[in-house]
Amino acid sequence: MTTSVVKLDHVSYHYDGTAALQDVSIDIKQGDFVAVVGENGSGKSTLIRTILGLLSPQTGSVELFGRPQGQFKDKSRISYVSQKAASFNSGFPVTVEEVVAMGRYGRLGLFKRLNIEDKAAIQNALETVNMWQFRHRKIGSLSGGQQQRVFIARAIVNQPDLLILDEPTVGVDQKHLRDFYEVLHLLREHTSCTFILVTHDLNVVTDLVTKVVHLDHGRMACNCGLKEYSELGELTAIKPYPVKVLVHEGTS
Amino acid sequence: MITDLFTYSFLRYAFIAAVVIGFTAPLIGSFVVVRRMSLIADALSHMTLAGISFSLFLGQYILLFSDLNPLYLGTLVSVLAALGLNWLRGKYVHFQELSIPIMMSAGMGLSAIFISLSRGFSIDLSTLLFGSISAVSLSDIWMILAVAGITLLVIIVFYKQLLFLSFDEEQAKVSGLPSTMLHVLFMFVVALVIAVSMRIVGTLLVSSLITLPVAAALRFTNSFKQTILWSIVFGEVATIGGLVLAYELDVAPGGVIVLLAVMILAVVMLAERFGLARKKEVRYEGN
Repeated sequence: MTTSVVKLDHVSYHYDGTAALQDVSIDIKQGDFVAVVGENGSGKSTLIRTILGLLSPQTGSVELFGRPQGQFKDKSRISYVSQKAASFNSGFPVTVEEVVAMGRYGRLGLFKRLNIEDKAAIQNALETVNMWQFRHRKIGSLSGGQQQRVFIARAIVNQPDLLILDEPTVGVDQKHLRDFYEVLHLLREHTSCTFILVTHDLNVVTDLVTKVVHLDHGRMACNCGLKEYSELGELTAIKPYPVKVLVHEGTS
Repeated sequence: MITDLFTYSFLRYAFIAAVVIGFTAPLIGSFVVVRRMSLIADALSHMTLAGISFSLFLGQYILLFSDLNPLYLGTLVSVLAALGLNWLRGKYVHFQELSIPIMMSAGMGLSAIFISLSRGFSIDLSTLLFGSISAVSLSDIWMILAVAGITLLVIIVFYKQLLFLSFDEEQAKVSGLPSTMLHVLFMFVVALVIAVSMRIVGTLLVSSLITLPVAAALRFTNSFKQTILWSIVFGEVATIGGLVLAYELDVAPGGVIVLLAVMILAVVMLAERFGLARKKEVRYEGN
């Protein structure tokens, strides 16, 4: 039986009386690539922040790797690239290597310095996204696409079991968008990680996605396989665009 | 001045204070600036002034306070104000900068009241506002050294965590870092540094010592460690140089120290303009 990585059971969250999530139940299994879609304000980011523990649901429960969220302590198994990652202060005096090293800080204790193993992990992560040669560069001096790669390197430096990407391509131009999806394909091929990707553009990742969660005004309009999602005619009204399923074996 | 240093103890104290503050203020200032909290130093220095003037006011009526170093109460009020700022920032999530004028006004208001209620302080007002070479006592030195020790210890132990929190607070929280505890600890250390720095540079100029050396270092450094290192170098040049000049010219050290720090910033910008220092890197658009 495949292990449950994220399990939401009848989760609701309200911002000052306005429902952002209503009775959402999801079970994400190990190895899944889940695309979370929906219009702006549909609750996608609230869902992600609830999974990450940045928000506590008013009703319902969240389990991570089979444990209630409050009892889950091994945070290094989860990595996150937020939509705000690219909007950092570009004048911040920090090198590419220092940014990726931050990914290791959560697991380092007090007084401990980065050891050889940490440094090897940093090199490996930067090489995976093809940014090792830029390690001494100030992060703010890189292009948007390169910065995005660095943030992905920071997210994978712990070799996480769950990688959450919340609209990571916001503000990235077309050329660098292609680079980003190349990296995503690379990670999918070379890791056994579970992915949750919040996106407005499902078509560019149809060959990766195994499950689609469609949110509509905080409610779950659909939680199904990609093929099934593309065939759901009655959902067309709330789908932002028609979904074209490419070659898919066993993805539904 | 060197022979005078061996002759006059007040000069030795001022020199020790300048060296230690020239190191400590830019060290913590590097984190203050990158967290975009530069103006917090102003708010806390005004609250420190309120604490000092309250202590001096009490000293006129209560024996215990007449012998007590006013910096102690000033430091306590600064720490409480730092916690108050934190609380206010939580109350005005979308207008966090409002916490600064609120606290600064409260500090100035309280200072004005205590100063006007008093029958004349043992030290004059310009000493509080612009610092003084002769104002540094032996008990101040012990306090400055203790604060420097606490600051250094906190930065060494929590360097990684504070850097992560400064760069990306949300990610730091997701990684499991205790962000609230770290923030409160950071504000506590900032409050301590500002309170003890007042003796040399005064209320009105203390925030400059926290921010100006970092502003100069930011012009040409790529990594955070480089920024800290160069900020300390500039801080030391400004404080030691400023103290020597203030002694020779017989003027308030705060003014000279801050003007030297401004000059350092101007020199760095000129060097940058003429290609002697590295200018901000051009965005690289290649793969």
